[in-house]
Amino acid sequence: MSDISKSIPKLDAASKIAGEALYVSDISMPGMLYAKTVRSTIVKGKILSIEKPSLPEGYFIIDRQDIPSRNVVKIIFEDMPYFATDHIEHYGEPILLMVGPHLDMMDELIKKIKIEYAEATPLFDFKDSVVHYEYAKGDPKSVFERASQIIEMTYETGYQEQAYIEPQGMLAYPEVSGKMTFIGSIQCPYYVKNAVIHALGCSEDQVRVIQATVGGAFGGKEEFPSLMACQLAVAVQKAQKPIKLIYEREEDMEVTTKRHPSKISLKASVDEFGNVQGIIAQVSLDGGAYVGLSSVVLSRAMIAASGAYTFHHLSVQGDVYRTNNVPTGAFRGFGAPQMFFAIEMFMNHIAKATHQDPFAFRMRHLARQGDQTSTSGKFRDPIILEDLIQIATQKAKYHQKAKAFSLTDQYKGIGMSFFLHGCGFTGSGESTHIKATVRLHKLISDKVEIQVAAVDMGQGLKTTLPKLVAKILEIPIHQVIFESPDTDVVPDSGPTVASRTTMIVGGLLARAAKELKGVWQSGIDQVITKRYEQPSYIEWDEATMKGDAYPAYSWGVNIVEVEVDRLTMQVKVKNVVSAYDVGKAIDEQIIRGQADGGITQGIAYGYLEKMVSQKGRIRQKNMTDYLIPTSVDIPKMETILIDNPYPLGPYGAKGAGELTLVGGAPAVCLAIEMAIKRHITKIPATPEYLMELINHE
Amino acid sequence: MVNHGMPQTLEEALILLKNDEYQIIAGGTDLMVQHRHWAQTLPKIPKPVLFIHHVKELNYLLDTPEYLEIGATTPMDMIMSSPLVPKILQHTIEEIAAPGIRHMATLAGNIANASPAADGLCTLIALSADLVIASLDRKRMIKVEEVISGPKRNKLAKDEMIIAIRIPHQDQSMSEFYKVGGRRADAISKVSLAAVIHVHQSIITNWHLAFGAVGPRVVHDIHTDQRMIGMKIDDVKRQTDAIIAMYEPLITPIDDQRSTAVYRKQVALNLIRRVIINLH
Repeated sequence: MSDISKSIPKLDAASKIAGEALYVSDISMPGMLYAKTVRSTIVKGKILSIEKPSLPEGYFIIDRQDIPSRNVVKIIFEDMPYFATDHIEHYGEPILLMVGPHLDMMDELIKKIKIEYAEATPLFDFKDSVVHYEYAKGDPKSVFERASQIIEMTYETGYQEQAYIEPQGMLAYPEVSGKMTFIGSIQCPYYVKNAVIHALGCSEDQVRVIQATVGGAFGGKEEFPSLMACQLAVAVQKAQKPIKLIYEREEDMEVTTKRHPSKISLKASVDEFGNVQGIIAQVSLDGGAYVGLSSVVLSRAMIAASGAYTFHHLSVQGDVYRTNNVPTGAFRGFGAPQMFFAIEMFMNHIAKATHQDPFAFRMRHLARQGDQTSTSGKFRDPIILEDLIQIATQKAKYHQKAKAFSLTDQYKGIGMSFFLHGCGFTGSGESTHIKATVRLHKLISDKVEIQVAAVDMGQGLKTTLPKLVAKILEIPIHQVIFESPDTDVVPDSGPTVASRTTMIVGGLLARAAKELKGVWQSGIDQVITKRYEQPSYIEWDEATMKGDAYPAYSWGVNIVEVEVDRLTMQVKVKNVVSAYDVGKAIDEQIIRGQADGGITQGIAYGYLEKMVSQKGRIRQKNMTDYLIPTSVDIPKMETILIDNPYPLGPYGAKGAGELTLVGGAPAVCLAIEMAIKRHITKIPATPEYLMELINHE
Repeated sequence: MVNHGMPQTLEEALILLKNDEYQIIAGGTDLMVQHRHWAQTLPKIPKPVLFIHHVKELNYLLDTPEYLEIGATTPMDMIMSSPLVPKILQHTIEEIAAPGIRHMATLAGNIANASPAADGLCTLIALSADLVIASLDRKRMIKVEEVISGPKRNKLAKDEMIIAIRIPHQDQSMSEFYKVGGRRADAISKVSLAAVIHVHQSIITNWHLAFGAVGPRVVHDIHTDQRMIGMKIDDVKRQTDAIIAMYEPLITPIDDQRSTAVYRKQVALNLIRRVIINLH
């Protein structure tokens, strides 16, 4: 039997290359209307009046007065209205939808809408904490009392924009039965469905959600599309016509959710042998005007507080602050990129401050199998981080280069990050909140249909899930059907997030396929359903954040080499070597795709992608001003995969989607540090910031 | 009723310009972006459009003993790959946008659009290029830098259009264009410097520095440049700091979404240092 990792052509590649794949913007329906959003032009204040023009026939204005049930988007923390209340909390808050058959006429009508505001003073500082979490491990207080040295640093990270190639978009239409159907560029069909049920106050069978081909998401299409769906639900109820809402690029960049800016303060107690005894961490996130799912981002960031190391004593506190910035939300990595930047830089800074070789110092603290995790759970499975480090350092000639670059003034540097990523939802989320269900439906034709709510957004599920099922059933892959999910057909297998799909959904499908194989009867219609069951050893106390935060962990090492121009402080990335343990690759080429894309996005988060909010308004609101790397900016990258099968994953597979992003920023920043011989405490490390460091030290 | 024009000849274009006010578009790579509107709607250009892309007689490169002449509709890509063109200009165009844009964009459009960050403009000014401007009644020549009155503003009369760019042949033993963009390709300049220099027997005989994105217009001060003429290379190198100080008051950048004034200023001055380091 051939190795499952051996790559096959992506099953959806041909239709995408031929232009046959339908994105939501490609879909038209008879009598379809367009929708455009009218947004607040102030950051904070009160709406005094809205003067609406008289509308020609066929045009509609939809606002909060049309809402039949609740004006709140069902996310974890239910505070975001989908049409602004009287109180404006951020720039670009949606006030109403203009709906009609002709875009140019809608533009004219929108210009006639007059909104009068009373402005109030907005808040941008970290003052209004709306979520506070804390946890501890060991006895941090006493190790700090006994410390031979205490090192303290603060790190800051900026916004990051998902920059998916396809902006947010959704189409909704009424069906004859009275049901309402949504087709969207989405990651989580059931999030959208549940949000609409909540907003309309209707029954489950009244709402149907279908995924269109998705042109990239990176977390940006996790919770945000629910807001658009709620607005459209109200609009379709009023107009009784199909309505399409597609965001313009600048609108998308200005108002949709992005990565949380953070401020992370770390304090280490170091003993007389130069070992870290304990860490005290304070994590602060800018949640923007509405909290949404920020609390979950915060907990993931806090759990990552010990990085890929074991510290016996920890005290971690975290807050989500409400500000009048645009709401932040899900983004690949989900809190981990912020924390890994901070902890990896900190480890290096501790080594410097205590006059130790950073590599040897970090190696001494690595997490090992059997160690307690940050949340006092247990690393049960083998950890092969040292193997990853060894092969990556060899391939990158890390030690020779680090030595040469550290001693000389040639503005060259090499940096290395160690990292892990917990696979799946935090704690018992999978069993208490998600409760995934998957179904295999064998048709009379002996074709097997995969019925799950998981979305292919470019990461390759359309290939990997059929590959898994076909392999187990020992049937040709074209005998397996995997259509984009439609909630009228597929059970809720959970959202396509949190590096969970291959491991959890794929794992359930593998179990279903094994069962189907055992009972297979040719020419007969057969259905196998599987539900998630939490591994019995997992114990998690949500209140104290104690126990096994994740069922499994993927691991990685990134090495980045840079050259800095001493006159312009521009950074050139010269070489990238990575090694990963994702358990087992279901398709090697697809994992390499994730690896290349992930580290590019991670490195760019560290040195290039700059987005700032100035008095509540995003300044870089198009792809001209918000720069993501081109092929010229990123060198050829080398990626090594080492198998380390996870017993409960399909063929041993663990999560891979987010892992490849989280180590990029610290690796590139450690390289820049070596090149310019200054401490970097802020990302993105732009030339402007590096120039400041050079000038002021 | 709006009447757009799509002339096939220069004469047709000039007649249309004589009779009505138009927005001239050659490649459209700047204007289509400036006037963009929602997807699936047309750009909102306030004036009728005169689309001169099809005027073939303006698509040429002509070498004469005194100058190289580039027709107004010659795409950047063609200019970049012509052996007649000075290396510094080829290199500058290589740094502008991406191949798709360079197939449509024109240098004349780059000038008329008058962005202070326009790379093409910066190098043309350092090369002391002239413009040939025509209306139905007359033809005139003007220095590239004199046609620009401010950011996005030029001094062309309503009935005039740029028909060609003339780059005088000159001695240039060292000509370099340094672009500092936010990334390594397809980026708008934070700072740029075009240097056109000639050294004869270790003495500077030609010296032009033009800076982009550090003021409301491309910065080029002929009086400051002329103070360099006659200096020995060794003296230039010895007096690097003084020379940089001489240019310092000319550099007046701003903070914007792409960079900071402090960075721009320091880098602009550092680039002069780079020119002097490379001087030979």
